[in-house]
Amino acid sequence: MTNNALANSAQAAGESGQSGQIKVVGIAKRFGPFQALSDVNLEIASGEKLVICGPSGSGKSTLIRCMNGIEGHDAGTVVVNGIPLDKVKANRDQIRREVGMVFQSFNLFPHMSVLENCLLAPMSVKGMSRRDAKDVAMHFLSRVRIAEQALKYPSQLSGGQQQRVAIARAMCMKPKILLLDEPTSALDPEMVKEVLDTMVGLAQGGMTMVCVTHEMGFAREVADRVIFMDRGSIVEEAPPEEFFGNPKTPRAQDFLAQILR
Amino acid sequence: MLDFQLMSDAFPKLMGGVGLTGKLSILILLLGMMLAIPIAYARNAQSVWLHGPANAYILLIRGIPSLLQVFMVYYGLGQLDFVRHSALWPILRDPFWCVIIALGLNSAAYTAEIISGALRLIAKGPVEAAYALGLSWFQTQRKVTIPLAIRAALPAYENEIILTVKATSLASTVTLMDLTGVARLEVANTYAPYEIFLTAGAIYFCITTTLSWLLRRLEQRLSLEHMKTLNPTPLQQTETVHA
Amino acid sequence: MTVFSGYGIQLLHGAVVSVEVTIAALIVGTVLGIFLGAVKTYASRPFRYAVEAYTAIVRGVPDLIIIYLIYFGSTIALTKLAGEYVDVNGFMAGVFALAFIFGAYASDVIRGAIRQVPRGQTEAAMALGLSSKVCFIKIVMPQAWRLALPGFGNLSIILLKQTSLISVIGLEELLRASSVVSGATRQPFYVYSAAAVIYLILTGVATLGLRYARKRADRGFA
Repeated sequence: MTNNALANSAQAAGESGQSGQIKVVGIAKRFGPFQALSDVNLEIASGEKLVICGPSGSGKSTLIRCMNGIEGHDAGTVVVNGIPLDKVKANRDQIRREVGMVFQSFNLFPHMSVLENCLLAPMSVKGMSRRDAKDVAMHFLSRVRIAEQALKYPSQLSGGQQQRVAIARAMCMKPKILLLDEPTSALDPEMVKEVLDTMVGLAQGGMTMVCVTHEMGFAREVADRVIFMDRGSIVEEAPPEEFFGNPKTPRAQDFLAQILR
Repeated sequence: MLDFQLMSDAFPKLMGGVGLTGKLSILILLLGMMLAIPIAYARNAQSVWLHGPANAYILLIRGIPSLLQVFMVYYGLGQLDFVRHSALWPILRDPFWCVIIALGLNSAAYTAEIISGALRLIAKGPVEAAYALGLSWFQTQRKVTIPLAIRAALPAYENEIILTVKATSLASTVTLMDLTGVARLEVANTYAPYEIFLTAGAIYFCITTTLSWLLRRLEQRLSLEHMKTLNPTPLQQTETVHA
Repeated sequence: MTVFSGYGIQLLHGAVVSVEVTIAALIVGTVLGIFLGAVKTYASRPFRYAVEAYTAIVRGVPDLIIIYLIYFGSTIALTKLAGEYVDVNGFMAGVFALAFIFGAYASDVIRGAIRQVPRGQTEAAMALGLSSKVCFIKIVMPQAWRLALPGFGNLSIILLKQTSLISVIGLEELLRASSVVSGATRQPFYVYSAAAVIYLILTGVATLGLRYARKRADRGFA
């Protein structure tokens, strides 16, 4: 771990205790014969904006999916907001309440309107009344500038609009941590910007954000730290300027050469 | 609980009904297949005069319970004078033939649908190639279309075979002594319906399960041959078995 | 055909009973099918195998035998429980037997449909913190239902025809009513033909209704 990151996490921990913090210690994950993650250690401070990049199959999506238990890990420990992510259902449920996630393929519920998508979790998980939940939902839908589409169904929206709805849906749970798994890679090029702008807007709050993405502009503008993964391990980590300007490992250099081409 | 002595006593008697169940199944399937082939071709034909009646027949049969079809043939036809005075009356008064006719006509509709579906599935390529080689329509059907259609239809036809074996149990309602008929007789004699029907059910289960296992093996062999002719290098076993 | 004046009512009454049995068995069978379909998809191995065995038995044994077994089985069971002879209601036994059969086939349809719901849907629900129960009821089933509808439609039409088998345990549904009427009128051909026409109308109406339901369910999906 670099000094910078250590300093960062120490500072953040001082501010808000363990809330919004993720600690990954020595986790490993296999899919059959394929070793997706091996001995990954990572500490994310409260309020930190972290970007994870790397070639496909490098384990970056698996890593982020282990942070809310959508994917179980085979070895090691994951501690989120001070709660261990283990077999105990109550712990897992608690973590998922506090951690939002945005997927590459949006995963909006197609049989529900935009508004219903945003109401479901606050009402059934937090037990909010429909009225309160609706206030929250409309607040976040207007923040992602899609409030006027609230009664439409996902299939009636463009990809960029769907992804913004997915972001609003996650935000309605008022998570302390937001995980974004390649949020722009399933989008047509002309829609990438609107989603990135939304993400930049979110980053201005104090929420912890972990984002798997290759969008260098976003990383430069928002990230406190970039980690580069390859073959299931973290190969390099640095502040964005340093990582993009002067990558140290040959694997990161190859990767950057490829995405810049 | 269950009277096992009674069940084992009933077993040989019930097995005596299996022969008729088998005979009925085979004759029904044969009649069904004979009628199904022309109906299937008619169904796929361009002309309304051909596919209209074929579709109507299938719709009619599928819309009426098979037990009613059995009753219509066995009880119903006898009411009509011209039937009673026809040369066919000795056959139409015999419940055995009535069941074969009723369920055969029924099976024909379902089988026709399977075959016409399979015929439509066949890629145009091989058929056009056969024509290009100078084969006649009849030769193309015999050498290319039908062999391919059989493979395409087999999984669905397997199901039709099992359904037909099960449907023969309806024969018991018109006095025939098939497996279900014997079971009903035994129930009347012993008044132990649960044991007797349980034994009969177990026998049916063994028959249909064995049959479907054998049919699946046949299907695998055919599909393996099929794969070999299309791909000179044989594919791995695991890839072809569930193709 | 004046013979039908009084008997026509009897046939129509039988048809009503057939429809009632169909609807009741459809409701019970659908609940059973969804439950067993969920067991087949999510439950641990012993439960899954038990349900697979049940399905295999229903697939391998004639409907008539299953109906007899359930009819006599429930008579014996209830008689033992009550301590005196209990005459099981033919309607109830019929509904139960047909639901038992329907549920087995329906569970396969449901399992197939659940598997077709994209994995991302359950992942998104999990990520939002929804419990697996809420996820199944609010996310998986509404989407699986649309995919299961064609299969359920076919099964419902088969069910409607299967009600004729209940005649063997004495319930006066359409087929039994026509047997009674044809015995009284000595006109079996015409009576059974009339019954066939009624069945055709019922299956026809059911087919059209299902087509409409499918169109409705597909609304909102690209």
